[in-house]
Amino acid sequence: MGAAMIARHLPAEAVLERTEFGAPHIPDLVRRAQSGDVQAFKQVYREHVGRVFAVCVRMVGNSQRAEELTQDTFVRVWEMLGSFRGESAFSSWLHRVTVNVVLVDIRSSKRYQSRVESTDDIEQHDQEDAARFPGERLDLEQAIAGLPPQARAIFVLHDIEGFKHEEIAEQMGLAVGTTKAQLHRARRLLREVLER
Amino acid sequence: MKHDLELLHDYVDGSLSMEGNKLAEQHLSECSDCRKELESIRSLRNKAAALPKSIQPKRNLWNGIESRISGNTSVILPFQETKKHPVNRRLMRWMQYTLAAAAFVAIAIFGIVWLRYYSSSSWKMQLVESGSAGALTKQEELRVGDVLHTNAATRATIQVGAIGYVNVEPNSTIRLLEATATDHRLALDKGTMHATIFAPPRLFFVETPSALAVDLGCAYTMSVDESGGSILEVTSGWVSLEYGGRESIIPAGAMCATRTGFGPGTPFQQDASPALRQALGTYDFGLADSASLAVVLHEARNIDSITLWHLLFRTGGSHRERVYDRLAFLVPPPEGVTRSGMLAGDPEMINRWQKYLNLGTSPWWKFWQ
Repeated sequence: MGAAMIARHLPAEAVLERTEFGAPHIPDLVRRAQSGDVQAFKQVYREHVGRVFAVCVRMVGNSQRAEELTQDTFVRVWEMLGSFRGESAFSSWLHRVTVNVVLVDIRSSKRYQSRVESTDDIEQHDQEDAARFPGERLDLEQAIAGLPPQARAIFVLHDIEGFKHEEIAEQMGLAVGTTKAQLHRARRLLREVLER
Repeated sequence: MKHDLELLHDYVDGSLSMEGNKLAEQHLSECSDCRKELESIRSLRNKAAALPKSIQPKRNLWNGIESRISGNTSVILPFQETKKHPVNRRLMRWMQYTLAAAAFVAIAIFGIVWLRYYSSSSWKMQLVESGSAGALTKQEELRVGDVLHTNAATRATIQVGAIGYVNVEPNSTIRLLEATATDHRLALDKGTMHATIFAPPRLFFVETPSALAVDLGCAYTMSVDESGGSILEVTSGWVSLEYGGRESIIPAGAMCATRTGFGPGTPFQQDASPALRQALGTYDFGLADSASLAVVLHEARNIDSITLWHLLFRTGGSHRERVYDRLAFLVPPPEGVTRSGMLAGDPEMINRWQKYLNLGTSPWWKFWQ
């Protein structure tokens, strides 16, 4: 065959340098939980509940609802454990599951649906939102909890959790322009109440 | 630029173009109102970033979770054992014996096939030439020392002993260097190849002019350009790129560039932003400058921890501190890992965080400089 040319017996140069590297890794506790060990899963819960609850409570702004969502997240994690293959850090995988559980809840919330507004509506809502804050100075956590649901979720994902606008937009089914507008709005509301 | 608060937010977030940045900076130098606004936004961002990443709920949530998962019969888990039913335990034990026996047979067959190829110094190869009359296929043998040149109309599929196969794209040059049971070794001088390997790690190697690719049980694509630089894209498992003591470990979903004389750059996720990739290239293969690092750190998401982890070992001084701070922000280190300890290269802390980040079992501390 003339299309490919094979040259025979040219000098071959080989330099072998070996080092020790591991394959994808599943933490022992997670592996045991994958095999149905509830006690191991309880330990997984203990190690990660603070991180999961922090995401939930900041995104929904309500401790009671955040507790329910934290429980929903761990039940969901238990159901999905078999799909975790160790190709990313377990903490990253858990974080993504948490955010998905919260976003599904936010999307299905009637309150949220009623507050999905275009950027043109922002000024009108902001007057109502500002009135919800008391006159005294608030700390940042309280101020975040008082934000409108959509703006709060976007602020938490972007400024606290480090997500990009494109990722947030995709996860929330919104345009990037909308997530930016909501983020800017959240920051403005927060600065107003924090600088009172 | 006039007072434009939206652009000011984009400026703080680093999402403006270079030209946009210049315009913003020019306006900021002339407008005290916008400077004040800028500081206010920055201050808020810093406070938000500094919030604790963990908050303990006020009540114990475990009991509610346990009651829901213990009665959950729809859970699909591999090899799940139910404590309430001893018969299932016996079934499980029988299954384990069966699986162990099957694994033994599979290993035996694999060993026989392996031995069969052990003495072979050539691999089977199929050449496919596309022409006006259709594709013409021919079986060939690639021997140790052979050099294969594919032209614009030719592709090749090479059987890598008994452990996998390599597809060679048109306009590529590849050499077979070793073909033993413990060392399957090709050289990719130019062009593109796709490797799919079903074998334990460290059995398949590809040498390029700028790095050695060590298979750790994976599938990947590697392209080498005219300058000898290459780009690696891993689709399954892990690959190690090595050159002159410098090493990069690339997991599935990530990529890594190499340059002649530099070796492997820093791995990055395939969906990393163009700005991150560009800045990383500048940092790795040229300037190692603060501005490029700032872009990388700003653009990094929590799933970009593979990038930041590598940078932690390749930087020093204030650069290393900045990398640590960003990584710790995106993926908080586990208990027992401290900033001072990590910055001092504490091997135990490195191992602990590495395990937490699921970055394999390699002793990373040895790369500390």
